[in-house]
Amino acid sequence: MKKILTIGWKDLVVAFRDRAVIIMLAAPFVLTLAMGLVTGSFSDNESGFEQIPVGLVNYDRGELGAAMATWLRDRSMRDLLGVTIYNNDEDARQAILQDEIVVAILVQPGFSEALLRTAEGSIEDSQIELHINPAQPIRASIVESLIQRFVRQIETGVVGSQVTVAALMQEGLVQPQEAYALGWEIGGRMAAQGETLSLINIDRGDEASESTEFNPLALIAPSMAVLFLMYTVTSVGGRSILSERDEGTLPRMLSTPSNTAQILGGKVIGVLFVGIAQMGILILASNLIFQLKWGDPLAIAVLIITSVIGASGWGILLAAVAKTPAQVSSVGTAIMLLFGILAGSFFGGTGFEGILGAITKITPNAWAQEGFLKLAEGGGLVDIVEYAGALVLMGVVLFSVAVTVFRRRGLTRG
Amino acid sequence: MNNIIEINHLTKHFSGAPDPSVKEVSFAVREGEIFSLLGPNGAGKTTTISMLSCLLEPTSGTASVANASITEQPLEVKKAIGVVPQEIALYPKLSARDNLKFWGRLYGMGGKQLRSRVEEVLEIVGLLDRAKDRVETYSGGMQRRINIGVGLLHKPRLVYMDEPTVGIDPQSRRNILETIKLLNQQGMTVLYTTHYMEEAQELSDRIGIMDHGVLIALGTLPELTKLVGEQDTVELRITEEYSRPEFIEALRGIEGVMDVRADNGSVQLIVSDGNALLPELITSANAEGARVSNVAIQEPNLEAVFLHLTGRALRD
Repeated sequence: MKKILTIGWKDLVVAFRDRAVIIMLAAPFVLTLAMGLVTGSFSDNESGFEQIPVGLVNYDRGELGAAMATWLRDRSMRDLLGVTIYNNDEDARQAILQDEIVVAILVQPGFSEALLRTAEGSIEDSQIELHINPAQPIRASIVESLIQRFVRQIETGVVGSQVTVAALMQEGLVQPQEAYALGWEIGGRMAAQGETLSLINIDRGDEASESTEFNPLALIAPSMAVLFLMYTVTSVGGRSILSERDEGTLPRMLSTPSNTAQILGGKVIGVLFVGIAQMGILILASNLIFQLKWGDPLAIAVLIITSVIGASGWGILLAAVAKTPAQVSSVGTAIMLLFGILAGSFFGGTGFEGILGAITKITPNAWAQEGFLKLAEGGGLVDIVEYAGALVLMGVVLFSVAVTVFRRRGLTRG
Repeated sequence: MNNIIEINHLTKHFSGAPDPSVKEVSFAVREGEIFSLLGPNGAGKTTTISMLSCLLEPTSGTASVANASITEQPLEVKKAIGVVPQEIALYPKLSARDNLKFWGRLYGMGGKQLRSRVEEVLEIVGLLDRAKDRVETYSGGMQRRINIGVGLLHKPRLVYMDEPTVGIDPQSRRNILETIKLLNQQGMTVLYTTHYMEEAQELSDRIGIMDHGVLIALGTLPELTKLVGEQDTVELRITEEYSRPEFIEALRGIEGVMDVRADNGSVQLIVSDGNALLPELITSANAEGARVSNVAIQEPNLEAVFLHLTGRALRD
């Protein structure tokens, strides 16, 4: 193990003394910055990041249904959501089938009454139905979390009005037979007031503010980080094995009392070290420079390591099948771009659908991006188990194939 | 004296190659000696060393190093040897000291032992004052010296040096040759490969001459020069246009001339007695109208041996 770590550490030091480190570290920042400017993430203007198209069908005749419609089209939501009002759910479902909207929000009749009657309500209890476009689960999950937030705020208002009525009854200012009518009136006023949900927003803390001020960089930065991780593990990491072979350091290592497994293990660890260092620096720096909140630090660490394992599998496999360092560089760059396109890394993490969408799952980009988005949305370790597991599995399978190829061809032969 | 290397009928035939790179080579290296493999590029020297370093599997034949089989006990072999490859196998982005530390760890060294040995080696190769500098800032000769230093780190009983002076200045070459002699005086066995006849003559206790993968001669310098008998090599420098076949044939006709080769304004003659034949050779050249600008007479050497055995010069 000592020799494996020695080789890995040496690779890390050599990689960070190479000019390629500029591409590894600076390029993702520059691209994130450029895309951030294009999407308007660094300015107040309303152009930029593509809105998530949603459809709203409001069957509710009460004030809360109307309040939701107003809130969804509120100035604070306009950057994020593009709302289309449909007259019936059939039209909204049709829009999903035609990929015109990501989510159809169906507010059922009696929504206002049901919500004002119970403080225990939930979206289901309150008769809101969300119809999700299966091709765009990530963007749909953003809408879902916004609706949940809205309902929680309403619930807070309902509880507030109930507490107010109970207090008035206790003081003898209101008779029990007047309570229901008064509570209904307070709740109705809350929803109908000029500031729409200003009273409902009483308990709206920082968390709620952050949720509504969704930062598109949360999609762009992980995409760029994973995209350039692929560059590092293929073009830099994979090439290093073949470069060492051509420059004579690999045969020299094999002439020391070290076996092939130790040396190959050391090279793999080296690629992992470099990848982890790159991702770690990028995430830390983007947090400091762009104030980007990546989420739970422990879960982020797990996702970084597993992303690097998955991506490194491709790098090592490429080194095993390629004949020259130049071949690794050119094929590595092609793989980086292809995986980036498939996984939608250039479009903020929205990739292809159908068969191409299924193929996307062979890319570490797709799994890692989804995982990072989950964490940015407030998810924890449990929420990324699926993504981390898939990335580790990908890495293990690809490493195994690479080792088989190396054994067959020999570590020192082209 | 014990044999530290024993090779029997060692052969390496790369798949796809028309001929074996090493053919049925057999020899032994005695502990404590400097043994040189001399031959032109492509003679099979590096392939032989690669097999003895356990980097290449022999196609057939056997070899043992420090009583360990190269195929059965490669780790034992690797512990006993230090390897100085032909290319500069170092990390240019690391300093000389960091390079040595890295390679030392791969030889299983660590801690205080490694730190003190690194300083010793830096002193041996004369680069203690540049130890902190990155190898990429070194001259070719300095890089060669560190390249040698890596092979000495774990104080091996036996060092393989594969053409360690290729492409460096005369001063660095001299420094390296003196280092090798010093190491040998301290008891280290050296297996040295070169295509420079002068280096093999200066350094070696015994010399094996290889050509086209075959060991064509083996012995001490006197034993090898005996192969060409009491022959001298006379070299005449002439204007190039006189290297024509008729002139060469005229020289070949002189009694006592055994062989003649012409090459870029230089005519090399293998003769029985250089001093006695010299006037006649110059007269003959003058008769052909050739202007002789320089004359050199060499007593039998490895060049003559190689020429005698193969019909070609070493530098061909």
